[in-house]
Amino acid sequence: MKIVVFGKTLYAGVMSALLAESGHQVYWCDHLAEDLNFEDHFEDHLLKVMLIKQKRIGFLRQCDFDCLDTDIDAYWFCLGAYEEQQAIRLAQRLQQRHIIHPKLMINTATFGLYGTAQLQDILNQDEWVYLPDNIREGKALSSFTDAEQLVVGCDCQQTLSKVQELLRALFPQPQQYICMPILDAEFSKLSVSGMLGARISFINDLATVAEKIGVDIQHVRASMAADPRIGGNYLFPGIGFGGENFSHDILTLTRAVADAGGRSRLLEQVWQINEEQKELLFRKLWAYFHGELNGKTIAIWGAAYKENTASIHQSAIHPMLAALWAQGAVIRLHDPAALQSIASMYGEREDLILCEQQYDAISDAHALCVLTPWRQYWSLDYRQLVNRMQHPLLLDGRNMYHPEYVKNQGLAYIGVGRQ
Amino acid sequence: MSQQQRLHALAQDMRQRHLYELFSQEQQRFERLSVQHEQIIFDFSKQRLNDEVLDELIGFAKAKQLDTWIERLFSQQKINYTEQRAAMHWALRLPEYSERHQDLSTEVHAQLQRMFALVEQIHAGQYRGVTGQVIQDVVNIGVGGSDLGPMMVSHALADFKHQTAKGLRLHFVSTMDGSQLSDVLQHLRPETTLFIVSSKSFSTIDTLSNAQTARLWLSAGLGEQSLFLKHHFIGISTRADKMTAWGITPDKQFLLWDWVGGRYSLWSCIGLPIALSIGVAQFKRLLAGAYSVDQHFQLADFRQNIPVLMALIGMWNINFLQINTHAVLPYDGRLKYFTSYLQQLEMESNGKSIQRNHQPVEMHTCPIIWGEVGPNAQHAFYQLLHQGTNRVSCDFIAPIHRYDQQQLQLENANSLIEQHYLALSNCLAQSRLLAFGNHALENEDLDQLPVYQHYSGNQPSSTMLMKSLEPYSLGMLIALYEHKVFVQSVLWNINPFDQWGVEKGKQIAKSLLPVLTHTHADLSHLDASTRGLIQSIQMF
Repeated sequence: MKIVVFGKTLYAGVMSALLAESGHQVYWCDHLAEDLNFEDHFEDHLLKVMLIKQKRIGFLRQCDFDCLDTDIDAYWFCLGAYEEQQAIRLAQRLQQRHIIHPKLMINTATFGLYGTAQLQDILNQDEWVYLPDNIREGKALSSFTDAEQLVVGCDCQQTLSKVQELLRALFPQPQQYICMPILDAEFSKLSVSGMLGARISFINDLATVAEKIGVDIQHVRASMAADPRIGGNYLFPGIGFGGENFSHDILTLTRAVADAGGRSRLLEQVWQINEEQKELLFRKLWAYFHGELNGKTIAIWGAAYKENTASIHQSAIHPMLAALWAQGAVIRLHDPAALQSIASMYGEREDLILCEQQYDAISDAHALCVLTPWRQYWSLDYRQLVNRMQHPLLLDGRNMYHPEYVKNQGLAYIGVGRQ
Repeated sequence: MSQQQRLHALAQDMRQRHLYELFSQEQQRFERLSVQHEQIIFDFSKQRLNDEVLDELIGFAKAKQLDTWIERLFSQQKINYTEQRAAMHWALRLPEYSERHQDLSTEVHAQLQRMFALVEQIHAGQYRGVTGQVIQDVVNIGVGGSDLGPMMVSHALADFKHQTAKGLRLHFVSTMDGSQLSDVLQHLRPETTLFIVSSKSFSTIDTLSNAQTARLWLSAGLGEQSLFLKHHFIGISTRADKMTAWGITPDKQFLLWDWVGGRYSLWSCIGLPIALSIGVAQFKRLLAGAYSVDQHFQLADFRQNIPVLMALIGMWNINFLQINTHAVLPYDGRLKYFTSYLQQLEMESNGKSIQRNHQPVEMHTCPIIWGEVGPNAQHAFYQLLHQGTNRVSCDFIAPIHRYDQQQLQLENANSLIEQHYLALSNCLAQSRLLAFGNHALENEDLDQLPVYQHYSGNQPSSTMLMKSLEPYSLGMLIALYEHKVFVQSVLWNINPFDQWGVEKGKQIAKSLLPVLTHTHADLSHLDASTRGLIQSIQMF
C-alpha cells in the first residue's frame, strides 16, 4: 500500500520504519515543512538506523504535502497530543485535494474523547480508525512489535480488514485485533494510562506511610510484585511519573471523568500524589538541613523524566529546581542526554551549573540527588563521592542503591519509603 | 445666639417637618445634596436637613477648628495625648515616593516590601513547613483590630481571591475561649499550616492563649518546638522583643509602630491575611484607594468633603435631632463583616465622655452603631425601622456593578446579575419607604388601609453608591469612615485614639482567674453577686 505518515512523534518514526520494512511505500510528510532529516528527530539509535536504511533502499521517502500523490491508500495522523490544531488544519487541507474517497484514515494522536470524531467530521467520506499510541520511550520499536494484541477503534468490518491488511506483516492473526467503536478505544487508551498512574501513586502513597512506621517499602513492593494478580510493573516507589503523553493522558481522563459528572476524586488524587512526590527529595533535604538551604550546593543526577530519553516533559527536575532556587540553593546538574533541553528552557543563570561529566556535578556539593535511573548511575565511585563532596549525603529518588552498603562507604543515605 | 443655640432652633423647626415636604419644596435636592468623589457617590438628600442647616453645621466645625485638627492629624504630632502617641494611619498608605513624608514612607514601605516577598513566596507554593511540605492553610490569630479589619476586607474582596499554584485557605481565629480555634484545627494538618500571631502589644491574652494552643497542637504533630517554630509562626507586632521571647524568629517578625491604632491598622502588615487573599497588586490598590480619600479629606472644601459631611450629618442626627442609634446596611453579602468592623472603629474611637480638657462632654458622643447585610435585615429588624417608636438613622451602602467578565462565563451568570439588581432595587425601595412613609405608596387609597398598615416615614438615611466593590473602592470606603470618626472626635473635643474603657476589665479578669480554680480562695473582698456566681461555678 501507499501510506502517508504525518507528524514527527516517536510513533510516526516507529510506524514509518516498520511499515517500510514490511514492504509498504511510505511517505513521511512533515506538516510543519521543516527542512530536516526525519531520522534526526529521534534519539533511539536502533530506530535511526532503520529509518536511514529504509530511505536508502527506497521504501521510505520524505515528501512535501503539496507533492503527495493523489492515489495514496492510507493517511496516518501521528501527531502529538498538543498538536490538535495542526491535525485539524491537515484534515482541512486533505479535504481540499482531489482525492477519490473513501480512503483509510488512521488517527493515533490522543486528543481526548471525541478527538478522532473531530477529524472525521472534516473528512467525512473516508474510513476512520483510531489506533492508540502505545509506544514507550526508551523501548520504541519493541513496545509496538512485542504487543500481543492491538486495539483498533473502528466502526465497520470493512475498515477493519483494511487495517489488518496494512499490519499483516506485524500482526498476522485475526485474533490479535481487539476491535471496538472509536470512542471506546479512546476511552480505553486513557484508562490504561490512568491505571498505570494509579499504581505508581499507590505505591508512593504506601512509601510515605512505610517510612513513618519504619517499614521498608522495597519489601512491600517485592511481596506485591510476587502476587500473580498484581505483578511488578509500574509498581516502583520513587519520585513519580512524568513524560508528555502519559501525563497528558491522565489529565485528559481526569477531565473526562469530571465532565461526565463523576464524583470520584481518585484520579485527581493520583495526580496530586505524583506532583508532591516529584519534590520529595527537596523535602528530605529541607528536613535534613533544618530549612537552611540558602547558599548550599546541591548536585543532581538526571533531568530526563526517565532513562534513555532526552525528554524533560513533566520531569521531577522542574519542581526540584523551582523549590531549591526559591530557597537560594545552587544546583550542579548532570544528565547524559537532557542537558541541552534544560539549557534552552532555563537559559543561563548563576544558580544552575550544567556538568558534562557525572562526577563534576558532585564537586563541593552538600548533597547528591539522583532523579533518573540512567544505567551509568547504578554503580557509584564512592571514593570520589566522599572526597569531593562538602557533605557526603546521597538522596536516592529511585531506590537504586543498597542503603547499608552506601552507609558503610561513609555516606548518609536517604531513599524513598525506607530508613 | 450661640452657634449651638441656632442649631437647636433649626432642629426645633426641622422636627416639625417631614422629608416628604423637603423634597416637594426643593426640586434639585439630589443635585444639591449629593457628592461624588471618583467612583463613590454620597447621597445625603434623604437626611432631615437643608442648606441653612448645612451652613450652620459647617460653621460649627470651623469654630471647632476642624481645619487645624486635620493638619494635626496629617502631621507627626502626638494627638493621642493620653498615650503620648501620634495617630498616623494615613502614613501606612503613602505612596512609595512621597514629597512631604519621605522618611516615613521609606520606613513603612520597608516593612511592606518584606511582607510582599513573603506573600509571593506563599503564593508561589514555595513557603515550607518544617517537613518541607508546602503551606496550604494560614490561620490568623488576632482579636479586635488584628482580626476584624483583615477579616472584613478578605470577605469583602472574596471575588478577587488570588489564584495560587497550590490551593491556599485562610482562617480567622479570635475568640478567647478557643472555640473557633478548635473548630479550625480539626480540619487542618500541622505540616501544612502556618499561623500568623497578630497583636500590636503582643500581650493580648486572647491572642496569646490561642497562639499557645496552636503551638501545642503543632508540637503534638511535629515534635520538637525549636525546629518547627521558625517555619510555622509569623509574628506581627510593635514589640520585637516580646515576639522573640515567645519564639518567633527575627526574619518572621513584621513590625508596626505605636503610632498606628489597632483599629486603624489593616493597612500595615496586620493586613497580611488580606494580601494573602487578594495578592500584592490588589493590596496596593486597596492602599491607593485610601490614599485618594486622604487627599480628598485634606483638600476638598467642607461642603464637598465626604468624611466631613458624614460626620456633620451624624452629629446633627445625634445631638440635634436626638437620634441615638445608627444602622449600617450594606446591600451586598460580601460586606457582611462591615458593620462589626464599624462598630469597633466608631464606638471604640468615640465612645468617650471626657473632653480633651478633662471636662465632661457637653453633648452626646458616639451613637449605638449596629446593622446587618440589608436584604437579610429586612427579615429581621426593618419592622422596627418602619413602624417602631425609635428614631434611627441609616447608612445604605451598595455597589452598582457586580460580576465581572470572568464570572460572567458561569452558566448561571444571568441569574446572578438578576439577583444583584434585585438587591439594588431593594436598597432603593427601603430608603425611599423609610424617608417618605405613606407618601411612597403608589395607587393605594390610604383611607382604605387599616392604621397598622401605615408608614410614618421621616427616618433619615444616607446612601453610599460605589461603582463596584473592588480593592480600590473598598479602600476608599474604609478611609471615609475613618476620617468621619476623626471629624466627630473634633466636634466633640474628645480623643478618638485611646481605649481606656477596655483596659480595666482585663486586669480584673486576671485577678479573678486564680480565684475561679481554687476552691478555698478568699472571696470576702468581692461583691455579693460575683461571690455568688463564683460559688455556683465551683459547685457545678
